[in-house]
This record gives sequence, C-alpha cells and structure tokens, in this order.
Amino acid sequence: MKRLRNAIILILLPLVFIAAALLVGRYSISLREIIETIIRPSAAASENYRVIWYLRLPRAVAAAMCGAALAVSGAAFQGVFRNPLVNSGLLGVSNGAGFGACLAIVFLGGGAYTYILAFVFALLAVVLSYFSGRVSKVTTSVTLILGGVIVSSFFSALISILKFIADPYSQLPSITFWFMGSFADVGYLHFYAFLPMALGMLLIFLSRWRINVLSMGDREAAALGVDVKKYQFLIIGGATLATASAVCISGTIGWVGLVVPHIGRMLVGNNNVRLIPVSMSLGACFLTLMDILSRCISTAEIPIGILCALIGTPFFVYLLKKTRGGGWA
Amino acid sequence: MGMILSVKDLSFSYGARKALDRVSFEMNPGEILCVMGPNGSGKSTLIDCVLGIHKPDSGTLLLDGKEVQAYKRQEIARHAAYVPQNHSVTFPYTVREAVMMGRTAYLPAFGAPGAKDEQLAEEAMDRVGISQLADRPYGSISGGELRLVLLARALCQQTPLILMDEPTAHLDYRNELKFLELVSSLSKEDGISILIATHAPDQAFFFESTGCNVSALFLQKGVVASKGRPGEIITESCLEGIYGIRAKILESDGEKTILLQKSL
Amino acid sequence: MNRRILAAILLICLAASLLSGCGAVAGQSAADTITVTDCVGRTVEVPKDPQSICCVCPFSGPIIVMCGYGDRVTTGCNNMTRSNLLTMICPGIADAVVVKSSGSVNGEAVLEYGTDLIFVNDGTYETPEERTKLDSLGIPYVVIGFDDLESQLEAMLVIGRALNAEDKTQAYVDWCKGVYADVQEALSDVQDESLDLYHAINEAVRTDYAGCICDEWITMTGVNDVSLSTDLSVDGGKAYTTLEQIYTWDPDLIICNEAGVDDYILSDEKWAGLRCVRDGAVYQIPVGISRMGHPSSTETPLALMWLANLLYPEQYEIDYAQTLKDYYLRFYDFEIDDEMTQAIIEADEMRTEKTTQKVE
Repeated sequence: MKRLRNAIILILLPLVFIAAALLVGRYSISLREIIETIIRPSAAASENYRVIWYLRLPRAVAAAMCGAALAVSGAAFQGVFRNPLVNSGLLGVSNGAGFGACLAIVFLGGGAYTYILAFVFALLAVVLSYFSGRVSKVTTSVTLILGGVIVSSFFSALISILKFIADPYSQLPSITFWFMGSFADVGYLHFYAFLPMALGMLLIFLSRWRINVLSMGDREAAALGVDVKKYQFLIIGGATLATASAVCISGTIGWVGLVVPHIGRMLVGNNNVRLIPVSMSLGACFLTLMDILSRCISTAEIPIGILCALIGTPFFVYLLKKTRGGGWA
Repeated sequence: MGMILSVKDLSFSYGARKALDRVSFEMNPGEILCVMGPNGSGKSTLIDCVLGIHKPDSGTLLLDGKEVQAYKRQEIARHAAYVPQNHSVTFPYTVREAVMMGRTAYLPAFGAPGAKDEQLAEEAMDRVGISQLADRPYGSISGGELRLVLLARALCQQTPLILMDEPTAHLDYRNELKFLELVSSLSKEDGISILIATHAPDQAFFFESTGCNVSALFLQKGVVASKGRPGEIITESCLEGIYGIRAKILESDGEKTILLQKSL
Repeated sequence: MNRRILAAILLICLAASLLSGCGAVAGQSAADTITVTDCVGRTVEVPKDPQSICCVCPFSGPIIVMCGYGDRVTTGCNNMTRSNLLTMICPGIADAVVVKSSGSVNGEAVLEYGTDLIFVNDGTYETPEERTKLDSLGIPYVVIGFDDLESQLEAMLVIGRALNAEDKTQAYVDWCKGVYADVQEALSDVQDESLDLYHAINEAVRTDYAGCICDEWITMTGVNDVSLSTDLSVDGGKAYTTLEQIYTWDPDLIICNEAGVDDYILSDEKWAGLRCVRDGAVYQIPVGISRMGHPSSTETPLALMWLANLLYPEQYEIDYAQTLKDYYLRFYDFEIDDEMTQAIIEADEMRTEKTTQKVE
C-alpha cells in the first residue's frame, strides 16, 4: 500500500510541474481561459490555443522527459562505474552528440539533420569508448572510463575545429547556443526522440536492483550471480539511448545527470530500487522548473544549463548540510 | 551425499604464466578446507576458477556434480558464495541492503528483492550477530563488522559452499577469533562446506581443535605440495619447505600453535 | 662550434631578409601618401594608390567597390564575399582570401599578399590582442566603426578619404541624407503611432533594441517598433526575445531581413496563433548587396524607401523596382535586369551559404 502511494506521488509530482508550466509565461492568459483552452482547444482564441498547446505544453513535456532521462542515466552510470562523480556524459555521449550537431550546423545547414547526427554520433562515441577501452579482449570498468575520457576529449577537439571553421556570424551562435542547452525550439516533432528515451529509461528501471549489485565490483557482482557483461550492456545501453535522445532535444545539460541523483540519495538513500524512480521524478520536476524560470525571468531566454548550475548548486549545498551527507560523511 | 566440490587435474595460466598446475582435491558437505601457501601461489586463482570467473585450461571442476562452466552465472551463485578479501565501499548502502544483495541469485531477470528476501536477510544478520547494525550505512562500521556483513551476504545466498579469500586479514585478535568461531559453527551446525584461503596455518589447527571436519592443502607455485589433516601435514619441515622459514610447532592443552623463529 | 657559427649566419640572413622586406613596403608607401583620421580618431598615413587591400570589415566592402578599388581587395573576411550581387558587380572581390575567422586576423596571411592598406572594424581593433597584432604588421590600417546612422555616413566618408575617392562617397552620403529627409517629409502627416511592427534581424527572435540603427530608420516611418518598449538583454550588440513575448506585443506586421525567415514564420505551427501571421502580414525586406537595413548594411535608405512604400503607398509613392535599377547604375555603374530586380525584392538567392537560424 505504501509502495503504491509512493509510486503515485512520484508520477504525479512531475505532472504538477508540467501543469504549472502551462500557467506561467510572458503572455498573460487568465486561469479560466487556460482551463477552457485545455478542455476545448477548438473553441479557444487562436493566440491562447497556440501559446498553450504549441509553445508551453511541448517544451514542458520535453523538459520533464529530458530531466528524467538525464538524471536516471547519471544515477545508472554512477552505480555501474562505482563512481559517484560521473555524469551521463561519461562515455562521450555529450561531446559525441555535440560534434554531430556541429557537423550538421556547419555542413548541412542545421534543421532536422542536427538531431539525427547528434543522436548517431552520441551512440558512436559510446561504441568508440567501448572499443578504445578494450584491452586484451576484455573491457573492464576502469578501462571503459578511460576510453570514455579519451573519446570525449577527441570529440571535443573535433568540435573546436568545427567551431573554428564555422561562420562566426551565423553558424557559431547556433553552435554556442546548442551547447548551452535550451528547450526554446521544441515542437511536437521532437517527441519522436521520446521513443529511444523511454526505452532507455525502461531498461534502467527494470535493471535497477542489478545496479546495486554491479556497484559491488565486477568480481563480487559475478559471484553474487549477476551476468556482469549482460547487465552492463543493458544498463549502459539504456543510459546511452536516454542521454543521447535528451541531448538531441535540449543540448548538453551536464549538471542534472551529476547532481540530481545525489539529491535523490540524500532523500531516499543509496538503494537503486528506490533511487532510480526517485531520480527520474526529481530530474523531471527540476528541469521543468528550470525551464519555467528560463522562460519567465527575463524577456530573452536564459540558457537553462546556466540556470541549473546557478540555482541547483545552493539547493544542493543546503541539502548536503541538512542531511549531513546522507551516509557519505 | 556426493561431493560438493571435486577438482581434478585443474590447470590455468595467465598468458604464459602458469598459475595452477594439475590441482586435484575434493570437498565433502560440511567440510572446511584451508588452502594455504605463500603469496602468488594460486589461492585466489583457484577461488576464481571455482566461481567460474576464470575458465580452466584443462582438467575438471565439478560443483555439486556438474562442470562449473556448464552452469549459468546465476546457477553458480546458488551453489557457491564468496567472501572477498578486500571490499571497497563506494555507495553507503545500509547493512540490510548490502546483505540482501546475496538474494540476487534467486531473482528473475528484472526483479528486485521482496518481503521474503528481506526476511532471509534478517535471519542471516541474526545468525552472524549484526542485527543491531541493520539500518547503519555499511561504509561507517568497523572492519570486523564489515567482514560479518559480507559473511551474512554469503549466507543469504543459501549455498552449500562458501569460498573465503583471507577473510581475517586486517582483523584484530578478538574479531579474528569471533569470525573463526562463526565459520566453525557454520560448518558443524549448518553443514556448510567452507573453502578458506589463508596465510595462517594456525587457523587450520583452530578448526581441528574445535572438532570440525577440516583438511589442509598447501599450494606452491600453483602445484599442490601436500594435503591432508592439518595435524598430519603442517609440520616444521613442511613450513621450511614451503614458506622458507624456521618455525616451531608447540602444543598446549591439545591445541597446536606455530612459533615463528627465523626466515631462511 | 661550426654549427653555432652557421646558425648565427642563418639567423642574421633571416633577420636581414625580414628587415629588407619591411623596408621595401615602407619605402614604397612613403613615396606618395595621404593622411586620414579614422573612425576612432587615429591619424593614419595611407598610400595614395593602394595595390593590395585587406578588408576585414564587412561594412567597408561595398564602399570600397563603389570607390573603384574592389579588384585590389586581396584578403578579407568571409561575410564580405557572401553577397552574390557584389561579386557580380566586382568579380575580383570573390577571389579575396579569407584571413579572419572567429574574430581573429591571420597576420601572416595578410603579409603574404603584399598588403599595403587594411580596413578593420572597430570591434576587432578594440580587442587588445588583435590591436597588438595589427600594430606589429607595420601596414597602415584604418579603423571603421559607427553606432548610429549619422556616424555610419561619416564612416563611409572615411573610407572614401582613405581611397582618395571622397567625391564618390560624398555623393553617396548626400543621396542617403536626401532619402532620409524625403521619407520623413512625405510621412510627416501620417505619423501613425498605432501601427505595431516587429522586426526580425537574421533570426526570427532576434530584434531591435532602443538606440540601435534599426530603431532609427524604422521609426522614421512613424510606426511603433514593438521591441523598443521592453528591456531586452543585449549581448554583443544582439538582442533576443521570446515567441511568447511577441505574442504579448501582438504586432500588426512583421518584417524580416534574412531570406527564408518570413516563410518560416508563416508556416511554423508555433507562430500560427499570431494575428499578423493569420493575416499574412509578414514581409521580407529586400536583399541587395547587403541585407538592407541590417546594422552593418550600406543600403539602409533602400530599406527605408521599401518600408515607407509598403506601409503608406499613397503618401510615399515610388516605383521601387526602378529605384533599385537607378541606384545600382548610379553608384556601382552596374545595370540590373528585371529578373535581378525581382530577385532583390524577393531576397531570392542573393547570398550564398544559407545561414542557420535560431528559431522558435
């Protein structure tokens, strides 16, 4: 009964934030009009209809999904790699996606190619990390992290080259903007990215107990009856799918994947059976809230990556003090 | 009842370096086997082979009558549990959660432990006497307590065989003794077979004196140097041959102990 | 020991060749020079008849062509060569080698082309590293910069002076001033403050801020430029807004200076709720040599004439196509046919390398 109640809270909470996102914005619509627009879109004023259904709803949903995906991938990576300091960009996902996006902006004129290439190169980066980290036919966790670091820096060098040859007046701003992360461009077409994202999150959610066991170390996990290779593949694969799709929509928001899982740990402990769903819910709420702020604080949009770090950090420090580190100290 | 573990002509090498060379031994239910030998003699490699982590180059390794490599990963974990030598704590799970990890071998592919598994974890903690620590983060308990958590985790796996890799390294006298008493009672009362890799031949004498069914086996450069009852094979000349030391074996109240004298 | 001597000799030879190289350039320019004061108040000695010009200031390109020195431009920045019309008028400028990327000028490349005069924009000059680099090149450089329409016209005169062709730029500036005055004169009766206009610069959500050049010429027509009423965050001379803010402004019409942005606004589902989008009141500003009316455009009077004619065809009645033909013939000695005129008005394929836009 208690578990059912908790599950309902975890699902409802992001929905509350999405609903809040529909209510606020620069364009003022009365609460009654908003409700009418939601219930009977066809009867609503055209301005209201577009603002609610095309401006606010898609980006609120996208922010929630991306927040959940980034946070849960971060938690999964931290567990599988036994390293509380990594985020979901560990295996080169972010830089791979960034390179793909730059490539599309510089050579293909951006548009839909940006998303497709970002996704493809994000996956490619992880595969490359895996093979770079392969030593005498095995890829251990440590060599995999090393491979990730190397591939990441490789792609970041490639990004620098593309930035160098990009047109400073038209392409460079697009690239810079892409790296700061934003939901400003989100429309319903982006929702296709939810498919791989949801699949990735599902894989992590189902394997969540195994993440606990894998965090004991490859050798002990094997002795405890876990097929290490198989579950590493499922979990890393799931996290990669989720992160790559999220990065395609929102650009790179590294902060969420690193810190939201830790906020989750302070609230419910380290057990991934609870931590994974809580990270998803928290990540969704957090990013939706940040997106609301980024839309509302000023007349121009503040890049969400900057807001995350700016507002999230004091909150994180507050929690750290309040929970006395949640078993870490 | 058949043999729990039956090893015959087992060989394994890391590349060109031979780690185990035609090792043979058997273990009965409830038996304690103390595997001894200098550093690098192949003790840990032997445990890895039994756990199916290393695939032997040749020879047979039967766990409960079936070739280890023919088991699935999860099935091995239902037959043999493992208490590691070193365990580094990354995430401070509670003691209860850490013990419950032993239940993984019985969970479906995407399952998480349920109420029954929690009950078994409580029993395992009770058996080793750490129930009062259940809700503490397992990173902030003492080294002796951590060793007991790992033992409880192995008990939670409900296996007829437990493999221990120098479980008492880094423990003080009292904690070492408590641990050995526990091992002895698991063997006698619960009928669990225990393969224990150790540096201290004294421990084999201890098990013998507490009335366990105990054997000793010396490994030297991957080869079985001698095996048998501790009292029969642990001799002053054997210690000199294997470890290169001069030592005296003393006896008091029917219990033997080793007095180290000089390295040769 | 022998090696050291050899190395020393090599070094001396190298230094000597460098010095003689620099000396040659200096000697040449000393022969016949003019003195000009540039846009930041520096006094510069420039050669009377420059043989090889480096133009790392996109604004200066068309003026240099107007002064008849387009074929002498050997090096430049990539924005200058993007205009199809400019390269048609002066094919030589298309061959200029790009030596400026991400705001940094490649000094060695400038030297390589025997440059004896450089036009540089004030933004580059104000970067300390770039200024040091320019000074070390030993080539006279003229800084071009402006922050309103008046100083923009003054900047054109500076370029004319530096190229010993002030008569040409003076004629052009007089014409510009004439257009500004004519339009304000013609529309002095209407001054319709109730008409709300939104101006998209390059990208759909980049717009005007109070005091910018676009603010100046758009308000000459008397319309209300909606974005001026709000505090926008201005970053590096660029002001961005959000689509929801545009919904709040609810403009009567939208004008865009970049080709394709009008189509985007008219076809995107997120913009479809705006009244002016439903009414189809989204217009493309013509694109000639430059995106007319853009802060760094030399053709702002053409944008103003177009807008005045669009909004008040009765009060300001002109044949815009003919105006364009006259303009290019008079100032660039270049005849544009009907097809090209239409392309300019529709902003069709006037600039290479389609730019990517930040869209909302």
